Amino acid sequence: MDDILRIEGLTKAFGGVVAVRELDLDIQECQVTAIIGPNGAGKTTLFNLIAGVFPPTRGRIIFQGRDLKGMPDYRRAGMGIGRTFQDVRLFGNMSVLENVMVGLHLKGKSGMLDAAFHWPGARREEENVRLTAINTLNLVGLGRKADMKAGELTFGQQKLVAVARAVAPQPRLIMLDEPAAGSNALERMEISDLVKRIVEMKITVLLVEHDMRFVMGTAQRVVVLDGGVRIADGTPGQVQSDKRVIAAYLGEPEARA
Amino acid sequence: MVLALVRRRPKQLAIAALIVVLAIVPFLGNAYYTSVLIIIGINAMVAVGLCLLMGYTGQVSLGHAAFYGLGAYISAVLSRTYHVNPWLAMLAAVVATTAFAFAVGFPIFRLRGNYLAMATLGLGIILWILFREVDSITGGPSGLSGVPYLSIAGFNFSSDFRFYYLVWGFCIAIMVISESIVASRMGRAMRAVHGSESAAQSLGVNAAVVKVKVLALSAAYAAVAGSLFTYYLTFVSPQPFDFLFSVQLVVMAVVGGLASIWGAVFGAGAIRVLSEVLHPFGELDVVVFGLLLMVVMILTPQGLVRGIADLWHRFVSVRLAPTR
Ligand SMILES: Nc1ncnc2c1ncn2[C@@H]1O[C@H](COP(=O)(O)OP(=O)(O)OP(=O)(O)O)[C@@H](O)[C@H]1O
Ligand SMILES: [Mg+2]
Repeated sequence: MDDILRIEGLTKAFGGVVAVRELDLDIQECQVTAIIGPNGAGKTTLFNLIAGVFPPTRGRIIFQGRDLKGMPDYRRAGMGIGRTFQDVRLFGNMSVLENVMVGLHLKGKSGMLDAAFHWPGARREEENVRLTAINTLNLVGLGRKADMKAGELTFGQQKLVAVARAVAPQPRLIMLDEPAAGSNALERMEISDLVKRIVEMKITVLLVEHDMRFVMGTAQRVVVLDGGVRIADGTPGQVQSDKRVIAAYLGEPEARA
Repeated sequence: MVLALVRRRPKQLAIAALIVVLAIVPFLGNAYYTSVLIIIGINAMVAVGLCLLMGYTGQVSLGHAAFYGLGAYISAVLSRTYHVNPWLAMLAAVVATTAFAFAVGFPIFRLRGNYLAMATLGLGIILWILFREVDSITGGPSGLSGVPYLSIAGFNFSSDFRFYYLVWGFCIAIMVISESIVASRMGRAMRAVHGSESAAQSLGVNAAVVKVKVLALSAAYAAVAGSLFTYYLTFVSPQPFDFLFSVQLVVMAVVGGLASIWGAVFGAGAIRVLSEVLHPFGELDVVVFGLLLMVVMILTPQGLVRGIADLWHRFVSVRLAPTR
């Protein structure tokens, strides 16, 4: 299988704290790769580097054969890199549907003047975007909440809207930062199913998750970070029995649920 | 029947009611009401633009009087000093002010929060000083008189009666355009930037460009308003474009509930009426505006209009509960 993403010698230092250190990583297309590791291991920082939130201190990120150096985050979205945030970040004052429609921003072209003068093309585009957004909401099982304010949903539902918002434009790669955190066992199973359906849409998934059972049931490959360094990499089974992993992560006084 | 209509179509009904009321006022024959409503209409255009910028996009501006003044001065100078057709002068004023907003927008929106507030404040003060000090062009503190009237094919907008309809025609057009923008792809991007800039960018929204475009649009509105203002008075001077007016504009938007175009128009009306009432007490109005701003922010952060609308909704839904 092809590598959709290649990371070479990636390093990010925040002042004295080195969050990611000399990381080499290849991500294969159309599979689920889980990034796990204890708190502060650098998982979210890795996502932020790939998404272009801030530049790396050193190293390269190559996406579909193209070096992303210097490319701002909103342009990386256009390249097909989508993400969710650990702290959700929905647009709380907008409806659930509108949140997903913002996800389709780059699928539309109409600007201020089109809207001001009601160009017919803009209206057609708007209808298409609305339909795609509704379909995506149905995919995550929230079609009936479309008109609710996003801020009024439960935390679990908000996380699903965030996934829908990122999936809607059909990115090539989607990064989910703790999609199941704060969800109950039933919801976690639903989210795991959802992740599998996303991969079936030919979208490569990178996900961070602390819940081991979720990771083992969802990912084909598990990469373990500790102190910004990769300490293990393999199938869920291999990683689970790795001594260093058990020491660094699973062996933590009762790994977080 | 009527209540059912009110419940189902509140916005359309409100627009119709506003148009009817506005259309009737000049026929009451009270010149004072007409002139106050002209000023309200002019202020409302600026307030609507500020509402798009502050309420919808989440970017503060404490210098919006600058764009208003720039529009007024460009129209006045071109039409009076250079004898350009007043409509063309107004068009030039809008284009130039919009371009100016684009130019200052990119550096200014590198700043956030308090720094952005300070920079826009500075912009307002700098332009105000230029209006006062560049005597040779602006006429200095005493301004320029003899600005021509607007006219269409010999029909002069020289009376309050005529000007009133011109102003409110522009104002309603601006309101309708703004409502469409807010509901569109662009409007969603604006509200997304307000909600979470990082999330918006992760979805491909270039936040800096969105902010600058909204600033430019609001500057265009302000330039239309400023031009109309100068053609109404056939005079221009620095005083109406001072810092106090920038603050008043913010109060208008806040009283109206920030993220509400209707609210901004209502806010413009309320603040204007209030300053008319307070006029005999001189500088006292500044104090009252400050207090009003604080009280509204504390009691109904969503603005007076929303507060009243909530009460109204409660009333309507109680009255009509059985028919549902
Ligand atoms: N923007 C930032 N500025 C300064 N330090 C940061 C920043 N982002 C992350 N860090 C630091 O980098 C280290 C790695 O943080 P990161 O958020 O990547 O960890 P994580 O693996 O996602 O942890 P968690 O499981 O708690 O989410 C931490 O020490 C953190 O304090
Ligand atoms: Mg994290």
